[in-house]
Amino acid sequence: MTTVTNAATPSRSEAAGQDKTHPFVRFLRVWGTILVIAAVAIGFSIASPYFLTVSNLNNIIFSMFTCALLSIGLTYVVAAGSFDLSIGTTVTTASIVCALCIPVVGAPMAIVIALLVSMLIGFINGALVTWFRISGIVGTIGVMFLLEGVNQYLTGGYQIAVGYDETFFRWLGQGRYGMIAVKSILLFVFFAIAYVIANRLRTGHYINAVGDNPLAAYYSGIPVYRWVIVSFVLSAFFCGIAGIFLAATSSSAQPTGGAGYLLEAFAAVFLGATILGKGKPHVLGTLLGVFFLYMVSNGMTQFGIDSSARKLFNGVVLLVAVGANAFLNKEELHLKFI
Amino acid sequence: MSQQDFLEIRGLHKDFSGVQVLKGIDLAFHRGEIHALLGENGAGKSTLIKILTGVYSASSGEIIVEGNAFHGHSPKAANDAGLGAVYQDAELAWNMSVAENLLLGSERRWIDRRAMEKEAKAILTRIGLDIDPSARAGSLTAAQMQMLTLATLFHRKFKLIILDEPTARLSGRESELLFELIRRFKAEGLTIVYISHRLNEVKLLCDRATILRDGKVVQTLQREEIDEALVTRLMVNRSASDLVISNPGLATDGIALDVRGLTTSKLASTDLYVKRGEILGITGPIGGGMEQIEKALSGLVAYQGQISMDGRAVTFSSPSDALAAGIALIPEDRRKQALFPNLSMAENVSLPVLGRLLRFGLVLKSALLGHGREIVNQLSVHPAAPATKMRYFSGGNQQKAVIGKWLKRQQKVYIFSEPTAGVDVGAIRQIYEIMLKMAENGAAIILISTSFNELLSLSERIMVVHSGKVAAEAPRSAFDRDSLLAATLASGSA
Repeated sequence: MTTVTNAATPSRSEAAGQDKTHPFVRFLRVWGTILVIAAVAIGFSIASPYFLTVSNLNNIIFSMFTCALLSIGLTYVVAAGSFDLSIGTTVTTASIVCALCIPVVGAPMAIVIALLVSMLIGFINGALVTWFRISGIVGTIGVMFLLEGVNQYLTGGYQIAVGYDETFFRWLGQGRYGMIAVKSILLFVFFAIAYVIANRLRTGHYINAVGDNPLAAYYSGIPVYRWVIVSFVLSAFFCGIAGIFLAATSSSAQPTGGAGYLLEAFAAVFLGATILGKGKPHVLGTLLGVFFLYMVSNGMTQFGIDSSARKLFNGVVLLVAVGANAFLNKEELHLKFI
Repeated sequence: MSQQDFLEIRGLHKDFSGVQVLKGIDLAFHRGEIHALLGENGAGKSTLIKILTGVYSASSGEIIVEGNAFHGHSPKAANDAGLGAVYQDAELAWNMSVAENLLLGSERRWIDRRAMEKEAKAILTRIGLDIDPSARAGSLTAAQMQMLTLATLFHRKFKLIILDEPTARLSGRESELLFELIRRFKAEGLTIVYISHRLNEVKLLCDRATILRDGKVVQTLQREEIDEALVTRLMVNRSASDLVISNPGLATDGIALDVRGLTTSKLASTDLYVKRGEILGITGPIGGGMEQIEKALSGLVAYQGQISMDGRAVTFSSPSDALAAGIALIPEDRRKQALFPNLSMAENVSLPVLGRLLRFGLVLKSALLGHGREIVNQLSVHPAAPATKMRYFSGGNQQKAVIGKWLKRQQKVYIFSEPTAGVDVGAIRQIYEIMLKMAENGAAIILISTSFNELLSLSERIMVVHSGKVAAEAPRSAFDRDSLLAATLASGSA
């Protein structure tokens, strides 16, 4: 192909083409959040000899399992440009369905059914925000209430116990290899799957494109609705896994077991978006975000710091991280208040 | 500061974290003048406007408005000083009425819809606009929206109005109406700063023209000095004869796309065909039906009629259908319709061919970057940085990326809609050459444009569509600028 040499002078076109920021600001934007996480971790390690041990690391990862899966799932939905507020109750529903099915069809089949039910919920969410033209916030709040009703009905308001003879199921949630819990190892397996879907399969690329500019995606022949729905199904799928492990860990399903994780997950996703300066949600950032929240909680508990102070700290960290990132990026006019 | 100056800029500098974008601007705008601001993308025009409208603050230098120093740190400060701008996409509240838009910010405490509409009507009449004040702003045509935005600034007693490419989306006739409105504003003593890539408009409308290059003022020309060759040379610092280009006749015998009886809600039954290697130009007033052809052929509107490609009948109900059949659209509003601003150049151009870049079913960053680099080299995208986010590229280079998106899909038919709107002079020629090269390689091209220069340079055959019908169709040789203008304007009387 013939081309014309560009007459533009290099200095000007570089100014037009590249990030015009100070190197230090650029450094902060990329590494700022990670520096804070590392600093807090180092602080805890110095203050407590127990903090930086394999067994405590396992504790943190074990405790963050549910929140991590929810947050990873939510990352897809936020990347696609929507919101999923039903994730907490989807976890509960999955754990209840799983616990109810185990006596009837056995644990492996019950797990499959719980995952299918979760994915159906995700599909309904996706259908609502696409074909039925309901906003993500409103549609998934509707589904959230709906599921709360279903959960209440299925359990009658009481917990559903899983028998102690379900050894495989108990192994999932309670098994250990030395100091490391099976659940902790599996979290990394699930994360690896999520990472591949987000970064190495077309799915992740199309979801990002749809979230960045849905109109351009539509004009480019990308089936926009399909990828929005896929993002919701993925979100619900990870909720399903979380629900199953929630039941496996306590050998029971609670009528409102997962509800508390919703807001933590949102915090983690938006905290994660600031990690590595991506400015948009990504699964690695989300995982680190969850890790940070749970690490702080773990460290503060060790020092006997009150839970009110922990919440305060979480709030401050989220606002400072997201706020600082927005501040470092403030070249553009800000007119989006969602 | 002389008596006639409304605003004077002295030694204005602006840098973004150390990168100088404005390198000392000295410039004055007179009261009651239409002053053109010309320059390639990246020359500093938009930065200058953003400083004048208070979006950015200057690094050093001063701005004097009516004898007082202006310290614009916010759009509010600029408004208070009487400085305002109309951008390419007219900014209106689409779900509010014309009257509500016009009076936004100056409503009385008690909102009386009927009184507002009456007041709005009075303002509109005074400046000679015939728009229904109760209409929803979103239902107006592009031209009406532009004029309503102007009316809004007029009503707010702005003294200097900056117009950024106001005719980019208007037809010739609509532009004329806009020019009339601008002249009326001038007569009322307003200062108009007019930014456009269309030099003939500048010659027609402006009293003076200032050319910016590389963050500096190159020269300010009087109206009679404005000359295409000179302006182009000052803007890009090379001879204008470089810009002349023509289609040597690339059409082959095979018909790539044959359309019979294409009918939509705004287009009467239309027949058209394009041969392989041929560039078919389509023009007409905006809203006259030419965009319906583009939309129907790219699967964006419902249509009736037969479309066949290489003799095979096809039907489209979505852009994916059209793309699968081999038609790619390079849409007019690339920022909204074609680009992913926060994805990298490489990711943008890879999306349509992602399936082909897979290695063992996986998307590898190296494969994307490799593909991006190939496109970047092939289309001389500048800077050649495939990993850079799309939004950091200039208009012309963004347009190259949109073309690059479809290049490797080897589509049979490419529809270009206003391919050089908002593209700087330097890049226009490159885009023309890319299009001709695509035709030479056997692609059929439909060029939908309101720029006669563009149509006459590139097309082998030209169709004029107005009032939802084909008004004229002939080989390129049958048209010149005047006859094309006449054929397009004829719609007004029809």
